[in-house]
Amino acid sequence: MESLYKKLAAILEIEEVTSSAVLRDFDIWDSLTVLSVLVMLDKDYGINIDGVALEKLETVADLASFIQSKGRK
Amino acid sequence: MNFYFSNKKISGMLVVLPANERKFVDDMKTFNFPEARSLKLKEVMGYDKHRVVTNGTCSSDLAVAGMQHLFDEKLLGRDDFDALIVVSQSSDHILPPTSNVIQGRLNLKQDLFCIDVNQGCAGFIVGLMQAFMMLEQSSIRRIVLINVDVLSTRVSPKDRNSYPLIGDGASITVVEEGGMGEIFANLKMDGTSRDALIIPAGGFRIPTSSKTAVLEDAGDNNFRAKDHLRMDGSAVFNFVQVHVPPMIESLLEFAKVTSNEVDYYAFHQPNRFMLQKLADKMQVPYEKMPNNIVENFGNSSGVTIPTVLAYNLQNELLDGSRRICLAGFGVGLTWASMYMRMGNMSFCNIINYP
Repeated sequence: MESLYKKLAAILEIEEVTSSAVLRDFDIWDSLTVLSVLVMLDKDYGINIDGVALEKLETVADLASFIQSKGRK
Repeated sequence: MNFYFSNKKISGMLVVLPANERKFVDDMKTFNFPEARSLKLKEVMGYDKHRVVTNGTCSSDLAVAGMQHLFDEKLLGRDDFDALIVVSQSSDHILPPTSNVIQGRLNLKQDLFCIDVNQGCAGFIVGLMQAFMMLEQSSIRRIVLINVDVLSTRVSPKDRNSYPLIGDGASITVVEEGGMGEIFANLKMDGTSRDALIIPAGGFRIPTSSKTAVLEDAGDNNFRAKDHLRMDGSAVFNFVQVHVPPMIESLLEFAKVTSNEVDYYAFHQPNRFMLQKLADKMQVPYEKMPNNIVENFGNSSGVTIPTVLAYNLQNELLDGSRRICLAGFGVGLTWASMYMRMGNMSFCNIINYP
């Protein structure tokens, strides 16, 4: 999941993310950021979800465990 | 579901775009967003310029201007077609059909099958299918298919989801018997997802009123009214990425052609970003799937496929022919595709209105 943290940091335009960080509290958490995350999930993990499903995930750790439960890698 | 047609062709195509052009850098002044984020949106999505109507220009105005152009240039005789199909979601009136408005304004003959079809981004393919089916009747020898929308007036300028990409326009496609081989198509629809793209008010369910005109906070710093187009961007994006690649795979299998044998993928143009992601997923080189319509003209719903063809492939379609795969996806939700050899057209160009 380390690579996920790096990918998220790049999308969120910050140095690093912590597992307890709340997704919607990031300054640039808007529809464009959501879209960037959706694309990353599709491309890197083969997961297709919509923004509503993504918004239900609270923290970075929630996103990581979601990927582990659904992903192919 | 699959469809098969033979001995039918597109003999000409004209696109009519409003001369009025808006620029994203001007649009973004109205958005409730930091400039840097708006510029990021511009860069990622490929927004730049878009054509929108002014002064209350309606669908039939664009269509009548285009038809008159064809009559004046002797590219089409006013009595030389037997059906007029208008595919639109911005009809001049709730009734009568816009096809009858156009028939009347142009004084066309009475032996003319006028029909309106309510379709959006898949509307070019749905319109072609309708035309091909009508051509089975011996009394119908040639058909004018008009795709037209002026939805920009129903998009909130404070809605960063939809306003930067919306475009208006009309296309006139002449369909007739004759042939360039077989035509394969497929289509699927899902009405349970109908709310993903909707103008809630203005029909009979929610008539327009002073209440439906009030701008509401739609979240994410976007503001729109019930009279405005509402697009659930991430749901539509997800729908396209999930359903379009397998649809094309199944179409090409049905047509017994390989992906390499297709010369061009002329797809509906939601924005550059989505088309690039689709091309990546389908492993199609970007130059085979043009994506430059939204940045130059905007997304004009069912008119985008004719615009892609006329803007990028004019010479190829006037002289000689090409193997083209079309795809449209959007409101309904609807996703449709078609594979055919296209070309040797008598006209294929874009004009401005006025």
